[in-house]
Amino acid sequence: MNTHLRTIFAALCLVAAGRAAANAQTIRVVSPASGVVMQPGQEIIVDVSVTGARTRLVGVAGSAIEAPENLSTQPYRWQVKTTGVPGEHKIVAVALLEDGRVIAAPPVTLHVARNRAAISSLIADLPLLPMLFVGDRAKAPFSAVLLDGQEERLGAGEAAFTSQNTAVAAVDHQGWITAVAPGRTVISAEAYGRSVSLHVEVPGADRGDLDRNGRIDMDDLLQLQTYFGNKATTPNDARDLNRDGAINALDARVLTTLCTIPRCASR
Amino acid sequence: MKILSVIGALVAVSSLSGATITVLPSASGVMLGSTVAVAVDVNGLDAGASPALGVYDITLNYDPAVLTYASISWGTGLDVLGLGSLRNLSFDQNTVRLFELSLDLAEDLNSLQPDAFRLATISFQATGPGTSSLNLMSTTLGDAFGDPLQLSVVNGSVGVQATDQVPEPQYSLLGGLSLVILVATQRGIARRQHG
Repeated sequence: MNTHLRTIFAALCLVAAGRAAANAQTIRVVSPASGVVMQPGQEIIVDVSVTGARTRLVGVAGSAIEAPENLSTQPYRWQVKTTGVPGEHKIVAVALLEDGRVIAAPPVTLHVARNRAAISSLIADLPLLPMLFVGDRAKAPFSAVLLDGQEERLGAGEAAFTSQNTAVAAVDHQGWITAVAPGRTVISAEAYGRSVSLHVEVPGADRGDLDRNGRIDMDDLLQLQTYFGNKATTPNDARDLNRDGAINALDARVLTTLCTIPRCASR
Repeated sequence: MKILSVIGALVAVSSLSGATITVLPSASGVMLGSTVAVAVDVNGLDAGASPALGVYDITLNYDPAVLTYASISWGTGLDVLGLGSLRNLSFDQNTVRLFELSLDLAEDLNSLQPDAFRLATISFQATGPGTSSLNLMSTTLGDAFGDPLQLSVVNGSVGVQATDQVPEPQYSLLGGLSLVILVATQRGIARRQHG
């Protein structure tokens, strides 16, 4: 009897699991992978997978590719050409299901590179980038100078970024610089066979003195308030006064206990 | 009599502790077009002792199809010396976010803050029929030193009735009125017959 019950239960579970799988309609872009760097005009294969649904039409679109025709049968695969517009682009895929609903795939990001021959040099917009406090973040201000003299900011994924001293300032692959500790270092970018660099300075300051004016007061409180809801960017983020990884009202109350003026008044 | 769509204030306890933060509407059921005042109270702190409430950042969620924000009146529990606190009010489509930071010294807060007080009273206009939950969706509460403070949350709700649904008079009242009219009529007839 028990065996029978177990068998029936297992069968019911299988049916339920099958129905759940059938109900889970998903669509995703299998290729290209997100983050791939393409050359302008390069031909790529866009491969889309749809599961758990009957489709009427599947299509792809994006600013980086010439839009191909929609397909009604598998395989959902297109050979398309990347456009000549350099920078970061998204490719999205959507499917019109038989029941009339539309499902969309999470977009994938493509980087279309510039024509190397069109670049005359790389420059930094500033010789020195002053960070405001430990934990502050800024986009590396590097630009490409084109042969016609135009300057265009280097996009995400277009250059390889490095920091001379990651204990002072770190930089990610998209060019975001994070102030890690007081000091000075150099951030560099390499792209199209050229390189460029700038100095980054991270100030040291008393705990809570976010505006580094030597006083801890209402101005620091109001500045801190603008960051509520953010996460700390480094373990020593100057705004995360209680070191819990979140910048919120608790840090503001900690700051009031550090104020150098009664009731933090500065005005 | 049609019963007002009423719901009391209660439910969802988000943490366990002696202290609570309560969302309490002035009435559980109101008529369309009227105003309902929603009190946000703190209870169960230790009067004259630590922990005191030094800061809060709370978000009250409501149904914008039923209620529309009208005004706020702040409490004074975080301003024990009457010299002012740092306050900020912000809105989203269906939320009101209240932030208040005490600028008092920790020792003043701990020694002077009462064990129960009102954080704020938020007034809403009843702009649509239905029931709106009044839930604290996000609460950051800190003591006098900025350490996190765990308080239980008691949410509320308010029902709004359309004005065309005029409450019917009570049957007992109707019955009584009919009796009075009947007696008066019979007396009048009797007088006319005797006269």
